Amino acid sequence: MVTLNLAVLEEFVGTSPALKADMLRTFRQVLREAVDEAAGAGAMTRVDILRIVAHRLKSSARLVGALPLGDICAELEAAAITGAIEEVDRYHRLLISEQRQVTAAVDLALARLQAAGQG
Amino acid sequence: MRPDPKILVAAEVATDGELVGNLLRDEFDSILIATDRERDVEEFESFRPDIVVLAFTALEGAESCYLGLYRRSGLIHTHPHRTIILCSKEDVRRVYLLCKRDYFDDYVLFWPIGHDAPRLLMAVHQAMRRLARDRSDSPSAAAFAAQARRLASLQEELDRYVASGQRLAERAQRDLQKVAASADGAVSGFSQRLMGGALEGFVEVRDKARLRRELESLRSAAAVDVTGATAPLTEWVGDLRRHVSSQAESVAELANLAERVRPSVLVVDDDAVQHTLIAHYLDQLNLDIAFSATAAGAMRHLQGARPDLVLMDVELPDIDGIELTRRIHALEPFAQLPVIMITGSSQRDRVLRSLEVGAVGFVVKPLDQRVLTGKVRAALGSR
Repeated sequence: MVTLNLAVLEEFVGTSPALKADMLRTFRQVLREAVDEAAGAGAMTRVDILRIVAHRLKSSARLVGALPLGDICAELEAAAITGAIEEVDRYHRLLISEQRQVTAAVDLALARLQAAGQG
Repeated sequence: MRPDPKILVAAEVATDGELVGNLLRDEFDSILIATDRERDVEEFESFRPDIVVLAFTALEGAESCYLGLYRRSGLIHTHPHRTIILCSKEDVRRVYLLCKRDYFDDYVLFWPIGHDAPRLLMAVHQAMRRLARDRSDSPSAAAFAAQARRLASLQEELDRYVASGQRLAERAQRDLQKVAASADGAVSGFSQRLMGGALEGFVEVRDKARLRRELESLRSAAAVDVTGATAPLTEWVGDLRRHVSSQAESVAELANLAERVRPSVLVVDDDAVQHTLIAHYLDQLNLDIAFSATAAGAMRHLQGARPDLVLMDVELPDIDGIELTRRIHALEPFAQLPVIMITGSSQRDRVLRSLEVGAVGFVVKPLDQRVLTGKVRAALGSR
């Protein structure tokens, strides 16, 4: 599965480059904030916060076509709900790693849209 | 005049609470320090603060305190107040995100030592200004428009009543004509029988010419001026329309103006990407759309606005969307506010619970533009 499949996003918003760029920029911001939020969470609320963050990111990621990230979020959310700490840690690490790749892919897509004078 | 907001300072330990309380006492008098988490709800509900200052050195303490308060208090969501969270440098980014998402209203970098003590006082002043604006009694354009649209239906009612009045007047005229014809027929028949001698057995006519004159006179006296009799009713119906014509024009103009006020929709969803998508999907409907990421933010929005429709995500970070819908509908001004639930699945239990709290419909994620606009149109059509 590719990191970012823009065809998925186009299914939802059509092919308007401006709108695609708008969605991608918003998603990049949401992704960054989610990772910050998860990283800053204290031990007491960490699992709760990861559950909320994963739930929020899951649908956003699937919407813009970041399907592997969406799947990691789904697993992280499920692990957080059951309180399986080891699984939470594992998927949290995967999330951080996947987030870097997704951010790079989003940056590239935005650069391409901009280069084509469409973003 | 010295402003006197009620300020509740919630803290983990009394010394922190007193430290913050003493700073605030420079300018404000009504301050309550709360350090007993077991009594949070009771203290909030009896004190009814305008401002809650969360004076916890650890961010988690502040989050846990306010969320607990929000979930357990039956009053907090209807009592207008602002929240200020005191944070440390390490937490500032996360606190910023929490405020941005509407969990709290404002933050002050305070721990471990406040280098800028007036910053907290300033935050209180700003919170009070914001509260004053929210409490303003001035109705919104949307509230005016909603009433104007209702008033426009009065014109249709009046037209119906006038048309009905005209039909009744015509019917009365026809009925009177029948009565007059029947009375005339009866007098004529009686005259003919009398003059023709059909009643000779018990009536004797000595002067036929005089009798004819008397009978003619009787017919004239019995004749009914049908048009004259029903004229006042016909005129009254016509006058009614003329007398209210200028007001009716105003009502029509008001309705035209109301159509130019865009219906407002509040979207309660914690996902900014969904916000962008929903705004795009609803773009063609020419709506005023406001977004809130939390239940607390949505309730604060409703303290200053009267949306025509709410799109409500079922899963919110503070309390769930179904419970929030129940709380909204429990408020008298919003008892009839249509709410469409946004859900990740159409699970039977969720659907039933949503219907119980008065949701008018559902849309399932991933959202479909045609379905969403159809449901929003239908819900706004009955506004």
